[in-house]
Amino acid sequence: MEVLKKEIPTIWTTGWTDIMNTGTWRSAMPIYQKRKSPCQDICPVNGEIPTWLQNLKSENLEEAWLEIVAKNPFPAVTGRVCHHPCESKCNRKEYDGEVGINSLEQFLGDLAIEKGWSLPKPSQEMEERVAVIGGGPAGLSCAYQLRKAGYQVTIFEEQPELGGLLRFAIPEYRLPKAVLAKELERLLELGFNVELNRKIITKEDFEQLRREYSAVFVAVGAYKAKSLPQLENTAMKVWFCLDFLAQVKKGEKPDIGRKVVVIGGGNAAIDSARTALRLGAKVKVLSLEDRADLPAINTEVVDGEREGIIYYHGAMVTGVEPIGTDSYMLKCVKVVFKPSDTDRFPKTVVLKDTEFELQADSVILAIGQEPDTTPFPSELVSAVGLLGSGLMENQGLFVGGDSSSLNRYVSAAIADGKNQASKIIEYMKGNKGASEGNQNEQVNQTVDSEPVKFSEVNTFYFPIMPKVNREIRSESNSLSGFAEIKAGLSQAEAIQESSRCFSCGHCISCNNCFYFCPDQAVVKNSDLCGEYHILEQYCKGCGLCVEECPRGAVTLKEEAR
Amino acid sequence: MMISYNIPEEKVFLSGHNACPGCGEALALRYILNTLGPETVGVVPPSCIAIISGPQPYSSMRIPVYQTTLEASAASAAGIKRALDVQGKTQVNVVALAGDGGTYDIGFQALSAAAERNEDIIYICLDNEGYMNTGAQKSSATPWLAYTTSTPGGKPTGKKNVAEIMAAHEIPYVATATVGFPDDLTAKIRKAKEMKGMRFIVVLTPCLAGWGVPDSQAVRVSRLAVDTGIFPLYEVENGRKYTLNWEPRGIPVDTYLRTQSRYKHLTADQIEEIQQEVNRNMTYLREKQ
Amino acid sequence: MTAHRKLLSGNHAVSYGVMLAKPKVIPVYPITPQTPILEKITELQTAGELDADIMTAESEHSAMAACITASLTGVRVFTATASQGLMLMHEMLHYASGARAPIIMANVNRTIGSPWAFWPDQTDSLAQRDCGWIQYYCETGQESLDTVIQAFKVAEQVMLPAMVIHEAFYVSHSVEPVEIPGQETVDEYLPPFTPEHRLDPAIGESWGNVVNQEMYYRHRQDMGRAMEHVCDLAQKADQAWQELTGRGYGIMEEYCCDDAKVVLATMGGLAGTAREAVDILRQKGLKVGLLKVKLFRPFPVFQVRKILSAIPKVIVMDRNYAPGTGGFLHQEIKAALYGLANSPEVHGYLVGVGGVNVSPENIMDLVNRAMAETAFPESVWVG
Repeated sequence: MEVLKKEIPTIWTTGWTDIMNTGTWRSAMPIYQKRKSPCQDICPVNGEIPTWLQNLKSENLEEAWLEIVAKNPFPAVTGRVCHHPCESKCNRKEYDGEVGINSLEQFLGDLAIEKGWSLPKPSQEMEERVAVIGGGPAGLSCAYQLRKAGYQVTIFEEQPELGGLLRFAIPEYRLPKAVLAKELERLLELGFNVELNRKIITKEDFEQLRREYSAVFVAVGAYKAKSLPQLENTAMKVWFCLDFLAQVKKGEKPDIGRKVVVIGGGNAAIDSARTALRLGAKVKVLSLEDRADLPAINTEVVDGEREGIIYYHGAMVTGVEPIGTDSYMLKCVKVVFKPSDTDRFPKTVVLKDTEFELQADSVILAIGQEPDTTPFPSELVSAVGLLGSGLMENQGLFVGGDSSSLNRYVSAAIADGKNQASKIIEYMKGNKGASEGNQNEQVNQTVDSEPVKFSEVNTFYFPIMPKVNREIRSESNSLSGFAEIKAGLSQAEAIQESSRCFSCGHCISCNNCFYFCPDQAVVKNSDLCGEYHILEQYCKGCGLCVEECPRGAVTLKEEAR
Repeated sequence: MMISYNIPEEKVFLSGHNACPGCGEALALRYILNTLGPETVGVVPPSCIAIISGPQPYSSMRIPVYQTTLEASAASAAGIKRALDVQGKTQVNVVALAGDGGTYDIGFQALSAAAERNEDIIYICLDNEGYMNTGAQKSSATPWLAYTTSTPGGKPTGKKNVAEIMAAHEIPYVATATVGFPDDLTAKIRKAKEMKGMRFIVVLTPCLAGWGVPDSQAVRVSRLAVDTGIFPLYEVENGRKYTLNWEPRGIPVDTYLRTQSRYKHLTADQIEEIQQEVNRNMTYLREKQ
Repeated sequence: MTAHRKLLSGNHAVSYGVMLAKPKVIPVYPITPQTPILEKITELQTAGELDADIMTAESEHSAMAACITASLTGVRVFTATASQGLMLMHEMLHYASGARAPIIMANVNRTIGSPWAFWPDQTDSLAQRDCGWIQYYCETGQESLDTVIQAFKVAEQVMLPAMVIHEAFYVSHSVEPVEIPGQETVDEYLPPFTPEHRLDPAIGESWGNVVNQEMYYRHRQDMGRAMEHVCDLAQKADQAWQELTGRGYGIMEEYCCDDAKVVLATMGGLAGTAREAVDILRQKGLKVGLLKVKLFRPFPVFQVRKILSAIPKVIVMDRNYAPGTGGFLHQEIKAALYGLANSPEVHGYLVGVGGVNVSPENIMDLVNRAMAETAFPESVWVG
């Protein structure tokens, strides 16, 4: 009878479905893709913002900082003065407020100073020497990237100290000298040949350098101030903003009188205005640009207003008349003006019957500067009076920073220095006729061109959490001197704020794709932390992993069958 | 902070099963079986679950599974548990995995009786609000006005509140859960696993084909069901102790209804009526806490 | 305890048989006239004489559902029912045999509604003849007790469920002296139930997945093959039991058939009355015999043909009725004899349907009537 029992198992189930090939049902396959976040996309230095924010959130603080300084050696500086377009593009802005990336950069920058963290040392030493003319943000950034790659760099600076605008123009209340000094000191530890008080004056001077160095990078800034013809024939005190700011930074107190009108709409204008406030003046700012088009950093404009600046946007001065001995009446009119990056003289349309007057003891002019191009070959100077990028690169001559661009932000200058350094390295490798391992940072680049959109973020996973702002010191204190206005975040605040990051397009190993696969076709790679792969045998292509990725780091790709 | 999951899983539910792509029920089975672990015997009545569990001679569940008749899940599970107990295998979980038809409708007599006897089983209703395996006919779990092939004009009556009915049996544990909240679901399974006596969990599992939802949306739809208050996540211990496990985010029901073609015929007035009903239900539930 | 005699109703006799067979799980639901079986079982369990888990289900359907799974989980299972309860189980009866669950169920034959009635009538269980269950029909409480134990032995060898059936009141509630065998005797006769395949996480096998056409075909074929062995196994089981206890019944009983010109064929309690009628008729010189069909499923076609091949007339008495076909036994015997050379003339009489009393005199009248008429193809209402 045992025989009978043995026949029974036709109805017992002893096999497993994992031998099945349900992947054949699929018409699309999910792929993991490191995609551009909008912050990184707009970041002038192409900063790996989501990556370092995640490190910060996980309290891997030095790693976070190292990620920043891979592209920018001055996070404590830019954490204060960057115009941070990353925040205006931040996808979280549409949800419950952008992530305070700038304040987090400051936090890490300050922490690095406090902890004495060092920049990464060159991994190798190269023979080639590169001359960097100009020790401002662009020059220093370029020098840093070249040194990091092992090249021998000489920095030529006409001033007695390095830093450029960072040192001579940006007011103390925004960027304390000590912060800059620390970051410069740390940079110089990498080993540069620095020649201070060395101005390249003549073409001959310059050609001499070109002969001595394998490549030359010119980033001399734009210090030649534009003047306003309407103010030329008057006894009125007119300051050029950079001169004014430099004097104040030196500790001097320029006699600007009680009523000051600043003309201009950029950061130098707002810096000048707020500096004048601190010297006790009543300040008005007159800009050609409308409020929305002001090139100045918005928070600066707002902070200035809060401090008492009165703005006249979309207006210009047409003339000036004295009132008594020390004061003047500025004749003004409303205009329509559209700024342009390419047009040196954008069109200004005067609006009829909009004349008005402003009383002023002095005027600070912040309407733009141009580079001094005297020492450089005429082929290098573009039609708009700037040093032209890309014009003489094949001859080892590279340009960058304010002297070659109207996009005059500190971060843009740092970015320029970094990008030109890449080109210089490429140029020198090309000269050698060898490619010694691609050190190009493009390796890490993302696959598709479009940054992750807000609609691709699954906001369920991000409970509403308001932004943590840097505390502003009380008004009376802030206007009484040049102490820094904004207090940096505490570590707890910084970590909290960093946790708000959606990490758009950047997988943070949250495991959602893994947990939400009904077919268990997503596998965690135990040997590669933070990576997943799809089992093609099982994946039915439903797209749940794509939908439930909080950050758009998984996409579906159609499969032709 | 973001919401993230950390779910300990043991692979009891296998790949290669026959669920539709993106199936909410398959996802629920993954969480349930992988949380219960291998020391489990399953009971499955006719349903999509029976299809998912695999064609002979293959099973997608690495535990013994007995496929029973549509109305007999609770009784069948009770028979297994009692037979295990008399053999001294008291540590083995017995879980019934039934659909809403097999629970709310035809299987309710056996279920209620098992609850009354406080059978030492875990009964899980995978509720996709209709007879989806037979082509989307209405069950008593189908909500008011929902289109099914047997209610083409919309269901004229409301959804039976099975959790409340089971709670009224004063069994040790009654809970609601859904695939959009896997940590809540698995926590409830773990909790149920540690308890003795009759445990009942109703898990809302969107049916993509039956509800008219795209393949990738099961989780989103299930979350909206919770966050609108249409399907609140709560548990009832011993018929008395109510706990609301997730405070709905107050999303209007319209947002949920619009994700599914079974509701596409609704008028603004009807949607408003559903909203009012959901509001009343939430108030009622909160008062019980 | 050693074998001892006790005055027991037929139902209580069943309960003692169950106690001795030691099932571990007993899902059960009350119904007249089965209830005394349930009551005695719970009484024995409460008294500590029966170590079984009794599940008081809310319906016969659930009781049978639990029987199937408990059996598949690897334990011996018993239940009891009657009439409507058996009807409600119908779906699960098929399910149980398909599951190859060797459940033993006592069924107390009772009329099925509508209209409501409580009387002995075998239609309830006979209507389940195609469910894949082994069916035993018993004449007395003693036979029911003995058959319960035998049924476990047979069922567990072929992995098919079995019904042990006796009639309402005439058998179920009649009190007679019954010998209760000793536990050691039963233990020697009935080995523990240890199925190789069962629902057990340590084994991991599942039961009941959807199968394809060929698998289903093969599955039914396997059930048939198992059923084919039952007559032989039941015969042997009965012989073994007889050797141990001195009591045997065969799968059918031939009484005075050797030289018989007329054989009465029937099942259950009516066999007792028929035996009395045979004795009286034999005293009157009429060569009458009795064929008591005990094992109805599988139907012992071979034995029936052998016993009845040289008999001129067979009178089938049915205490059951299927509208449109007549008496169940009548149909079965005619079918069994089909094609046999010298096939007897088969008279089918519907007697005792609905529990109507049938006396020895009634049976003698039937014999006289059959002697006087040619058999009709259909079952005939008498009385």
